[in-house]
Amino acid sequence: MSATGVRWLAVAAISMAWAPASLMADAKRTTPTAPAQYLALRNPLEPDAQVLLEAKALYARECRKCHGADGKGRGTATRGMKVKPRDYTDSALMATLPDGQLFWIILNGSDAQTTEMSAYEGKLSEMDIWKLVLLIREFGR
Amino acid sequence: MRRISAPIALLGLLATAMTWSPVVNAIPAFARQVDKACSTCHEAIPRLNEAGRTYRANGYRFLEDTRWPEAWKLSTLPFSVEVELEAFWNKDTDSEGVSAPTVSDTKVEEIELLAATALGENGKVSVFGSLAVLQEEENGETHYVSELGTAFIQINDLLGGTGRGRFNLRAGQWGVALPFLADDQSIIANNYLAQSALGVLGDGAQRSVEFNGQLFSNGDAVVHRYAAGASRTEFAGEPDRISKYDPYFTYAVNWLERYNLGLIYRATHAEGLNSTDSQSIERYGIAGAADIGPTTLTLGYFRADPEIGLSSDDVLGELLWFAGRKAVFGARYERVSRDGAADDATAVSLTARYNVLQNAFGVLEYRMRDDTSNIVGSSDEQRRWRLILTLLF
Repeated sequence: MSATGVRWLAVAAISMAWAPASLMADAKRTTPTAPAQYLALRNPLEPDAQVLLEAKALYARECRKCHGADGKGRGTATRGMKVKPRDYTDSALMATLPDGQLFWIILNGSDAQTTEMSAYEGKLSEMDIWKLVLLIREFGR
Repeated sequence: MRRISAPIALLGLLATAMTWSPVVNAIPAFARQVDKACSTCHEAIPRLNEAGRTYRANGYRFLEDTRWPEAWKLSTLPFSVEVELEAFWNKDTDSEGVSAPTVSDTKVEEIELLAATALGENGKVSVFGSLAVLQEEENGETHYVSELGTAFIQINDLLGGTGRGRFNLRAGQWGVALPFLADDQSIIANNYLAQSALGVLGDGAQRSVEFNGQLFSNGDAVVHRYAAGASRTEFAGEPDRISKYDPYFTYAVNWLERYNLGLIYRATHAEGLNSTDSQSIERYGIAGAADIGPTTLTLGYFRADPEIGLSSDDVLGELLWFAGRKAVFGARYERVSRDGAADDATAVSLTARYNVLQNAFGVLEYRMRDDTSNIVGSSDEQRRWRLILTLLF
């Protein structure tokens, strides 16, 4: 086959593959569900001023670049992401997510194929994670 | 000097990577500093996504960050090493139609040390440096050449708020290109014809100084990135050429995080020791890129107008398909035409890439180039295969 023929074959093959590929929907959210023993957990911390201050410092250091200063999930590190972080200010959505689910996701990370939410086990203590859960709830109030 | 056995080196490096990096998302320097995976900023290394472009334009800082880890902490040490192993197979034919002997071999293409970080409590200064050791063949002898690549210092936030990167000053050496279209970001390993033929899209590290920045508008839905500066073209092998610092300008706009449009202008002026022997070339172009589902389509047009000599036009189109996190497929077509040339120079590159890890991947690439009119300097037809294995620490 001549070089011209190879080129046109390549163009045709790419065009045929691109059309359906581009019609595919963007990646869908596939957040894993925490095990039952975690879903049953309740936050042991109360939202007092000191705890929230510590939570905000943790959030600024670990979370803000993705989850945003306002908790809407539009930090600059999410630019270009197909699946954005959840909007913590959506109180209807947040009401469907128990404390234990939030705790477990921060501890273990979310779906690695579609999100950039990594696991914080070993990086944050369990008490630090509960502080963040407390702050996440504050975004929706 | 004894040549490193590439297959043995490959096995050793892969074994090292697998044991040294116990988690799937093993991470080089920037990722260590921000404690995020490579995929936060890269569609696939080295191509930046919009988060990565924002991070880079802001002097290697995220806008939300207010503190940066000390550069000397081992856990966030801003050094990375990149190793590239290459197997090649070349089947070329000269302009007379005479086939050259088939050439194939394996080699350590490059070992590169990279260092970069934002420094200071507010990230006021950013630095980047790269040093590469390349394996080259000359007269049947293998030797190794070290080369300082992109290296610069940038003073951030000269104007505008701290951490916003609106107006920065950079000095050092780098290739002038667009934020979304540059040789050092290309997943397709083959160089752009526009680099050698026109001197755009990154034609090697040029000594430069520039003002740059990024501005957000429409509630961050639109981002404007600009660079205005002067660069000095080095004329390798032409010691009688005296080059000066000549102006360049790039502007790119991104909207909705998916669509990019960019303009580039670059002038070059060089004089010979005989002051009547001078050459000026103006280069300019426009390009766009769109993320459509799992694919990215890039189109570009560039032109070089020398004061004396023949003008050249370059048209390129590139399609990348990101098939999940593990694989990328790419195709590029590029054509350079020159006034008065009998035939255009064309290049087609087809790439298939597999990510073993985010920081270890293999690329199989087929390249076809036709340049019988010697527009890009090869004066032949090239049919080449490349198998490139890359490892980043």
